[in-house]
Amino acid sequence: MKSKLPWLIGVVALLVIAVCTALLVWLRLGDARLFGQAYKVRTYAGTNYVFQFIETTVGKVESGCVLIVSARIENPNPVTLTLQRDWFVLADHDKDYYQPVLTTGQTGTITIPANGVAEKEAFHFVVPDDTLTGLLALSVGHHYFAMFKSDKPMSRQLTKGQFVTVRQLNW
Amino acid sequence: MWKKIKFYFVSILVIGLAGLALYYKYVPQHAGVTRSVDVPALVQQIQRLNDLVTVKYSIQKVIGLEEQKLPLGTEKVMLMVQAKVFGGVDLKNVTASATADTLLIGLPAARIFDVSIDDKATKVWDRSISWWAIWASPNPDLEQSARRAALVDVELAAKQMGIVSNAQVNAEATIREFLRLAGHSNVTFRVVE
Repeated sequence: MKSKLPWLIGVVALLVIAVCTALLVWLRLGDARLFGQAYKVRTYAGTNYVFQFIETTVGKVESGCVLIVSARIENPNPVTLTLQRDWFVLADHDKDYYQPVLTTGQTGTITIPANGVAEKEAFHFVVPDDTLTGLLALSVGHHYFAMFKSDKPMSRQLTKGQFVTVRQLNW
Repeated sequence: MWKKIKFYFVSILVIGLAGLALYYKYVPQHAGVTRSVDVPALVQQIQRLNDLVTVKYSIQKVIGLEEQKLPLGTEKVMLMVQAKVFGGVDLKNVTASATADTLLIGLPAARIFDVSIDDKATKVWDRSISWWAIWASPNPDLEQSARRAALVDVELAAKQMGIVSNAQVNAEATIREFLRLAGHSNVTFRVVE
């Protein structure tokens, strides 16, 4: 009996580790599924389109933090869809709103052909550090905000020039 | 008799020269001269200065990008990026109008034209993936994502360093100097949208 006890403890410990890891994996996959869900939304003019987050990249720069929100936008309509980049406003937990920054190579409008898809459209935001301490959402349609970060504060401190890419809500 | 004639002659000469001197001193030289300005030709000449009004910044950045893998693990890349940022004023949309003595130049607001990464001077310092995350495959686009992040960082850094205001001041100074050499010393600038 005595010689079997260490084995039993070892097996139980391994079992606990396996269960905890499986739980963590399940939670993270569920989190990622929530993050990547498709939103069927409408423009201000009433045109339907499908919006889906792909990834969020957050980085620290001299003037604060940079958020690069990448999304897939699908146009199910038989006509060309034109979206203004300014419509995709970022809102934080303090109800502060940020317009996307137009960087070189980007245009003020996003044009998607009939029944076409913009596979990876990037929206850039420059935000103060305290923005990342809570929930973040993006205005993706007429009075419709899609959450891409949960209300938990960002778990890690970034140094200047350090960027992190995530595909989940909790980060 | 001859003495009198001499006296009057010299007096008239002295008064005449004094009058001429006073005239040149106090009456503006261009008074009464109508100067016509060929505004479209002037605009064309200003547009040829396009290269001269461009400002170039060279910026070096170290960018570390970490990608969180699903469900667990991370992949990291670290780049040393050398980039060039070009700022300036789009002289295609310059306007000009002339009044009697002033040239009014309408300049578009300065902006960043291009941000480009110098591939020869850009190096990958480090690239790694969690050794235990055997299910995680390397992302072939990770370096590209890091470059995109670097471009945003570089552009913001250039803006913070004042590339836009520098480009505006540079454009105005270049055009002012060009117009001064062309004989237009009184020039006023306004920024047009």
